[in-house]
Amino acid sequence: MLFTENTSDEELVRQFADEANRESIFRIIMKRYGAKLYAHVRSFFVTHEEADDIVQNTFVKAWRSLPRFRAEASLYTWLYKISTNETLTFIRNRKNKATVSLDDDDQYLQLPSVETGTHRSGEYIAAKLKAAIEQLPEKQRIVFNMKYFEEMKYEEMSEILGTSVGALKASYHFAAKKIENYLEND
Amino acid sequence: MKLDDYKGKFNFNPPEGYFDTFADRVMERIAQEDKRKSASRGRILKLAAWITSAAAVILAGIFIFKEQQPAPVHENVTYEDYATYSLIESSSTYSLCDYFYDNSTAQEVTYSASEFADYGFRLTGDMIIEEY
Repeated sequence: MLFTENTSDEELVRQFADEANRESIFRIIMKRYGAKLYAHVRSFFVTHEEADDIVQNTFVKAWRSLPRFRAEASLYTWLYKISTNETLTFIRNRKNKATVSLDDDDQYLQLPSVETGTHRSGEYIAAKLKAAIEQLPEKQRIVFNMKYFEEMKYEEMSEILGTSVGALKASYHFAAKKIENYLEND
Repeated sequence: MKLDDYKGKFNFNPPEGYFDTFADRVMERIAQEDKRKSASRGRILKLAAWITSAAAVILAGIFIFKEQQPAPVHENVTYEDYATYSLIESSSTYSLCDYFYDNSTAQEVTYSASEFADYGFRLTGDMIIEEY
């Protein structure tokens, strides 16, 4: 059977059970969702190398778990969840490591530069925002990233995080307020 | 600095050409992990086979060693002990009781251990003499 970029997710998942098709199917899935997942992971303040590592981990795990995937959620939502978990695991491990070496930690905590259009440099804005976001609790940080950087709809976020839309709105509101306060007072 | 001023302005794109080789690198990584897992599974199986063989050899060794052991020799056994043992071994409870009854006086007698052994030996000796 020939699989193309137009083959539906459902069909790809169904045919993945056949070992002969696996690699070609998986290559289509990586091509379809790799960039979106990369952007999601990259928004968590990690450098390209770390984002690359996490996105690769995500797909390696997906390869191993896809035969057990039960289409309760969409394939993208499932992959997104894996990448979020991988990112959080990485951040937690990095925090533990940072207690040993603060110098190493610095390189992980950089946002990419931003087009400011003001007298302030992109690096300056990115560094300030990064420091502000790091003050947030883990859950608020995830919600903030998904909404602010990825501009995701609350309904989508609700499906991925398993939290009500109302709770997500409140969470984003508190997170944004905290960041604004941080930026104003600094 | 207003938060909304920078919304959607961050660039999270990967370096150019990143996705050209991405799928190949992931597949390569999966293949390497599979190879490593398979090698480590092979090592575990080898180790299990080695442990099983070693246990079998040890058990066989213990069995053979026990089989080759001579019957225990009791060097400090006295003639008296032996006679007592022989008497008890060759007598049923009923016949042993008979020996405690002296026919000449029609009374029960009490023997010390050595007397009892000696009596047993003499009795056996008499029986042998009688046979000849």
